[in-house]
Amino acid sequence: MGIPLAWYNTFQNKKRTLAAIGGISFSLLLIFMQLGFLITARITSGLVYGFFDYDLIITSAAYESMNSAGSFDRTRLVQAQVVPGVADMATMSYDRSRWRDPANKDLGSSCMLIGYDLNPAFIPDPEVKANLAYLQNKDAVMLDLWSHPDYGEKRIGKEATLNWRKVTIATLYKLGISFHAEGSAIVNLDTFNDLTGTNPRQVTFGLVKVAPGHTAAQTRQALKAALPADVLVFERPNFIQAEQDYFIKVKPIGIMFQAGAFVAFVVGAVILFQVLSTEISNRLKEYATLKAIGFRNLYVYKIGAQQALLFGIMSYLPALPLGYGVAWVVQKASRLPMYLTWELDLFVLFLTLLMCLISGVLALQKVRKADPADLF
Amino acid sequence: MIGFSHRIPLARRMITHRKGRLVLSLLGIAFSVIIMFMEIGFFNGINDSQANLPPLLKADLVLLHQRRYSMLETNTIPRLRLQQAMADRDVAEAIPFYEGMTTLLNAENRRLRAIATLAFPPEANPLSVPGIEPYREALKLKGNVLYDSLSRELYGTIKPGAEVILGGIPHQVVGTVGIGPNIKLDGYILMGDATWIADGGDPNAINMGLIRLKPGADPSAVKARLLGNLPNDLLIMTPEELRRREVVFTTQATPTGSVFGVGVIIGFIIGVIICYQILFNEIMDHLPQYATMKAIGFGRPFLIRLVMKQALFLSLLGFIPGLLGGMALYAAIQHFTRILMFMTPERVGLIFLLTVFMCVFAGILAMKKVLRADPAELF
Repeated sequence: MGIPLAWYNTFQNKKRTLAAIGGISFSLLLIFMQLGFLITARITSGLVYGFFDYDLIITSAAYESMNSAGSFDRTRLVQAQVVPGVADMATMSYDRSRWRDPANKDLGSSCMLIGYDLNPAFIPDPEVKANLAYLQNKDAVMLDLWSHPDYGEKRIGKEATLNWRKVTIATLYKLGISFHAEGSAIVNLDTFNDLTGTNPRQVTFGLVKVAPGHTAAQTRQALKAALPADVLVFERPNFIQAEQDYFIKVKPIGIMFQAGAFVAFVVGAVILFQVLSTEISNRLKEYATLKAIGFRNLYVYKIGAQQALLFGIMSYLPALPLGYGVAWVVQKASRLPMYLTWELDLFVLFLTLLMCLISGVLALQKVRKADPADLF
Repeated sequence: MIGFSHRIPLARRMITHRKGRLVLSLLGIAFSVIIMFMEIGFFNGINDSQANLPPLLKADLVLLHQRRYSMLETNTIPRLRLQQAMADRDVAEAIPFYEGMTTLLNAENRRLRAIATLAFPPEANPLSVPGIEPYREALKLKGNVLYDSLSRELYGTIKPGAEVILGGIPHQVVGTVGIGPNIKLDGYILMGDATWIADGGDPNAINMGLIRLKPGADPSAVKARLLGNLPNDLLIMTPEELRRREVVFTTQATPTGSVFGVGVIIGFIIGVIICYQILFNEIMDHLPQYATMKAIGFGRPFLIRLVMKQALFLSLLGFIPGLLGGMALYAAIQHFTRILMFMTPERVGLIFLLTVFMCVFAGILAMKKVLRADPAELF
């Protein structure tokens, strides 16, 4: 095939082509953003659980998700300590709280407050591990450096309030904000109970490390057998997975982003169909001529298919960097860290091709109508 | 007609000249309208749902703890504040309102699930929830509760007559009402104050005090008097003020503004491009006609008006299916997420303005071609 007909056809009217590519590009951009938000919501929902290193986690039987985790009597952790396979344990409590910066007119920001018993064995990050010692003082907090700017200056020694009680920034760490809250802070358990008014007997999570020679699954069964029914035991990967699923499937955010991506896909397909069908109607005579001089239907179909593909790819290429650009702006504006993965890039490419296929097949129905006899 | 009285409705005829293409074009515009509706719908849906309780309160003023910055919090105030409020000459009723979280045992999978409880004196009838009226007497009995049938599926199927274990204590579900969950709460249990107290709730720690005024009283004057006379641990707001405060709080506390704002902007840009494309094709097809009009003496203002009118036609014709599609989408999303998705005249108006602006903007972009239409090229 000497003449790249699809290419020439596509670029004969540059302005029209550009507008078409623009429309499809922005639909792909919207798909990209919606799915990017979905992935971000998914990843950030498990952020706190991923921060600690553990094999098993003990929660209240009422546990549903991080924001309605319930609590259980800390005696359960004492009971758990003697279960075979349990090598080490740590206590972690969680609550939502309000951070207020006095230098910022006491403007309140939501804060994920983590109470921790300061067991360094469960902290994988060496720097955080070393800085845990600063949290021994009462009302000392380890503040998330990536918290929202409304938190005010994040400087060691600065005073602010958590739930209206005065705290001092003793050290900093990095976690990142999420759809849950605008920032996070870690304190010791005494301070946690004080700040939240929680009964000190009640804790939110027990973290368990499994001894060498035992598997997590075995130890989980042993813990379930040894402990009363008011607590649940999960393995770490399943636990994080379940939290992400809860946030995406039960809460409406996941459904919203999926609906958004779906509508954007339909829009992209409609535009592409519109472009292809205009293109084909305008060239019906040319196609008929091709047929008349002996080219088969298949050849004409191929031109259409190539054009569909060409439009798709040319729309995908600008959409991708544009998506990263918009994500950067959103991240700047909302401080929500956007997690855009190469899998997402590939998935959007796949959707682009699917869009080409659907619109192409629908639009090419017309080609059959190209009848050489109609030419005259 | 924008200062143009001509007997031939040229713009409309040109737009509707090719019906098949017109349908496809309107579909494109309608979809960008749907995208914009969808994104502001999500944004408002999250915020409205988070503030779903205040509009249900049948009260003129609500007392809450001064530090209760959001409905997410459950700070309590002493019940004594109600008696203190009753001392005001214009206060007719002061109703205690309790809010809490408890667990509900899902009888199907034996999992405990957190659920929100609302408790109040049933005779005061403080909630305007559809379906609540017949149960006023039944709620007075200890152990009787109402279940919000719009709750998420976490709790299993709960029908009137079922027994539910709340916080370890068996309760009788006497009926169901429809409130609906939000991002934070997955469901509601409603009960009388007698049940709340029997379950171990402190009768003297109330979460909200609902104030009803005597006919003709001025809420803002009463509010000012109460704030002056009562201890300063209080916030006093009308339910509408409380709702608005919660919406503002939610927009600030969550990144929904940026997340869905981006969607609206992208939807708008798609709309501009689609509109441009349609007008451009339309102009290209009718270039000889435009050139002829120029040749027979119609001036630039006439041509500008003609294109603009076509743009406005497109926005009007595209907006209507977009609005209908948006309504269908809202119903579907509300069905699947149980998040409140509704349109208000302001929201519809905003999207309509965006749609008109979108088409006009596209019209300006496409105009150049018409103005350059050269009669000499006709032949």
